[in-house]
Amino acid sequence: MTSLTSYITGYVLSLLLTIGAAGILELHFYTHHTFPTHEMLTVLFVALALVQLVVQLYFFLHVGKGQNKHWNMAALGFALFVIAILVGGTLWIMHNLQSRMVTGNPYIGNQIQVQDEDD
Amino acid sequence: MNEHQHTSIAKKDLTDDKVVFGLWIYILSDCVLFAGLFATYAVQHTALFGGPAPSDIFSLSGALVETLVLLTSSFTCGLAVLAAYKNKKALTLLALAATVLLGATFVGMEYIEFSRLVAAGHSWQQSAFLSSFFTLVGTHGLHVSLGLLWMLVLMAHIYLRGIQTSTTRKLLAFSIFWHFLDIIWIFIFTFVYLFGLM
Amino acid sequence: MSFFFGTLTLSALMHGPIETVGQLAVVFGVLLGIGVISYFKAWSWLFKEWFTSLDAKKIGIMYIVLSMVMLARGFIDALMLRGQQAIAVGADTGFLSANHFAQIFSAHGVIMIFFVAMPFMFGFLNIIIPLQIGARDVAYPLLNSISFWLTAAGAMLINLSLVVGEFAAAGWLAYPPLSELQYSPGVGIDYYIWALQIAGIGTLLSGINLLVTIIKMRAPGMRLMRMPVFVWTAFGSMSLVIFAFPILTVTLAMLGLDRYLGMHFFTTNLGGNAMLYVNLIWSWGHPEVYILALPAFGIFSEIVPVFSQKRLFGYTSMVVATLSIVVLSFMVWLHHFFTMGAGADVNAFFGIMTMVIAIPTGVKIFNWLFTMFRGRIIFTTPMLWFMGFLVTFTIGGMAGVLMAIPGADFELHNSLFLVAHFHTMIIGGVLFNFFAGFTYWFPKVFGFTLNERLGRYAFWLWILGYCLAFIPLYVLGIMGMTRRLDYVDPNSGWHILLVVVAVGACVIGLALLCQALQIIVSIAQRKKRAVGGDPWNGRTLEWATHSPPPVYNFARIPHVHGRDAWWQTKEANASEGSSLKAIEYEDIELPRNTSVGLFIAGFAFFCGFALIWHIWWLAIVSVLGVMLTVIIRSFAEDIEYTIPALEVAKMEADLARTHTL
Repeated sequence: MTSLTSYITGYVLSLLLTIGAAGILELHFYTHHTFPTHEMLTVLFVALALVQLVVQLYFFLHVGKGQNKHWNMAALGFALFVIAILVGGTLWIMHNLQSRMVTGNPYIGNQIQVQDEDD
Repeated sequence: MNEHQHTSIAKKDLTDDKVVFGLWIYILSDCVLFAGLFATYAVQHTALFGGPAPSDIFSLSGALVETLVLLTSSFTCGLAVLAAYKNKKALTLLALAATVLLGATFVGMEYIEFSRLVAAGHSWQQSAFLSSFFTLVGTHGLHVSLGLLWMLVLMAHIYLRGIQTSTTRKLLAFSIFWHFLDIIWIFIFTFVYLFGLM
Repeated sequence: MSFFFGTLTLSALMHGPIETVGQLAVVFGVLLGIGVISYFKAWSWLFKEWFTSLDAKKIGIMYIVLSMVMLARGFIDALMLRGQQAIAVGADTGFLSANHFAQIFSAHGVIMIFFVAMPFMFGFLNIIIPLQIGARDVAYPLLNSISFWLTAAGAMLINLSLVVGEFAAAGWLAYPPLSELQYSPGVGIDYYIWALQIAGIGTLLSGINLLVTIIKMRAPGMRLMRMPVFVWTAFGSMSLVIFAFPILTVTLAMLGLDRYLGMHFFTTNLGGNAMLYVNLIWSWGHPEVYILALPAFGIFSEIVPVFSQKRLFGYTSMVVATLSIVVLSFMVWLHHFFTMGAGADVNAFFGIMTMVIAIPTGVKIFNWLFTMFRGRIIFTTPMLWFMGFLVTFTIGGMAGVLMAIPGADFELHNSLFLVAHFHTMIIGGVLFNFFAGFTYWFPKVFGFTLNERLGRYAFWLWILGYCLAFIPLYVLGIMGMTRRLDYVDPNSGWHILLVVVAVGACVIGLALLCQALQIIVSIAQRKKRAVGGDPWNGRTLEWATHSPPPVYNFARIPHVHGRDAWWQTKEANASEGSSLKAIEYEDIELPRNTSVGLFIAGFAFFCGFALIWHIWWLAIVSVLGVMLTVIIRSFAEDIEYTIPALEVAKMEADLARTHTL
């Protein structure tokens, strides 16, 4: 329930997740952008962000607790669905459009280098 | 119910409250608004057009401090809610004041970051990347600023009327808003700053 | 450019001859309105009984009045467009300049969607949803008033654009780069942006309001699967409002930032991406059409059982179909821009999803048909509208499924085939439904029925007008005519059909006049047309109270024991004998009237006006005004009043005497 423990736990976990993410980036700089690799960083950052999302939803916003939890979670679920489609769909569509754009001039569009047509 | 009685606020009463639930729904709609800005940033953050790239203008230490400040303010806001549930008016006001100060610090830091960029010639007019950066981060900052104003009004309510169902409801509604702002910031910190500096 | 007036100068009032007619019409209309109200000394009454009311029923009526006023304007726009197209062929360039024509088709679309269809829908929802769920009001009555006045403020801005300045000329969705400052340097797009942003906030707040109402304020015993289908569709539609409107807000905001602060979201240089705008605006735009369509379908789920005298067939599948449409409507939006250049994989996905979303709609239509099957059908006007809907919507829907095939859409995109399709959807699938609902629920709201004969005439005129005005557009689209043309070549062979279309528009005009006449005649005949609480032998709770309902809707909140709650009650009474047991009344708390909504919307209106004309001091003052109003109101304590139980008993006794329940 709404107790001091809940908030302290949430705060400490969020601190760790945030500082952890920053620390991983610092390590990446320290190793001259070799470790962790860009791919690993992407996965790690996203994972840490999602975990912190859940932490704050549960410990600060008490989602999943209380009398109204089913409606709260249903609404949250639908919101996440819309957000996933909006962001994912936009990225898919815009990337698809971009890759099919003919760019004679290398400085038109978002790419500095001329892209191959068969992407 | 007679609003002028000092009743001890049962924690159960307000989790099912119409106002609190309505604010939660509003927050979810605001998340979709930010999702639109995130989608735009994702599409346009590579459109540099001779201007600076994210790694040129972002500072990890600055962003990290901002993050920790806002996170702490989210924590103090939670403390304010707890104090209200325990009927402790002075403590509630103190926790809210701390939240205001931390929030103001956050906004101040952001303002400085923005001013430095503009002064260096890197305003929102220079490229689509900068437009989407200023808008995404700026919209969040605008929400935080409005939250500060909200908090001051809320503190006036609590100061004048004390801890009652009505003021606790207002505080709970505000705290949902404030926690949501920190959650949005997690994603700004990750997808704008961490990814940008990578 | 001046400090006090921004970019506003007297030249903003000077227009060409035809625009001046529009300008004078608005000015005259406003003066006439003010004059009539002053003549009848009705300002005080209007203010106390209507403008400051927080009663959802009154707010709903005001929404519908607003919608009808704007329908007149949107329809005149249509007449001008079709008139121009009927005339402008060969040597004749018609009576409208190209820019004016563009402003008119942009205004026509904006008005019809945002200021006719949406307010009409919210009017119904406000009046009927609380009644159908056995509640007294919506969840947030003050927010309700604010929402209405914000919508009205948006409408006022659109009408003001006829008088001062100009309107957008970039279509109802204002695609960049045309809508960017470079190609639309005037104030037109700014009028568009601010009218929609202001009205959009009102809509979003209403969405939250009605959703929480449905979730939290149902009468005891009304479980979700016992709600009327109209309530389910409202639930679905409001979910869409809440999660789709922020996309519109943010996209228009970015366009505004491009125009006002020199940003580069959608410009042609420095990284702007106009295709991103198209993608985002349609992510809102597609859910928007379902926002309108779902409650419209819900209306028929109420009407068809009542006039077939048989309960709705397939309640559960109706609910599942509604929820499926809600989910799917977020997954089809690219079909609005198949031709923008995405690859076959992307186009194919959205094409398939578009076809899939037709399925739940089909389920609904079959359910209505099965409801009618072996029913004892009464062909009142609402049922006529349903038949009209069945035919037109099915045709238009099939046209939609055809265009869902990307290859076919490459031929038909932005042709008149598309225009025919979406007008069929909105007229056949939303407007006809609203007309049916209007006729069906009018007696509940006002206590007397509408004239049936005039209703029939109006229906047949609408069908005839619709056929003449829109069927030829399907043909023209396939023949290759693009939309929004203000001139046609005589060799195209299109002209004769355009004349037919213009005639159809005039027939629709007659239909509208007939409907206006119906209302006037019915009001004149109201004493002999008076009815009690349940004139249609209805099934749902709104028929369980008086017509018109008292301010508190129900003296006692009903207890619900199943679907079709009122039908259940009537059957129980019939078998047991009507319960004349002594009823205990309770005190009823209701919100006091307040002018907060007027103030907020008034400040919003001035803020929009100020931003359009770059009058920065006024914009700041207006924003402060909104904030101050909200803050001051938050300290108000005496915001409710109580009707004591004895008073309630007396009111109920009076109503029982004067009405037949």
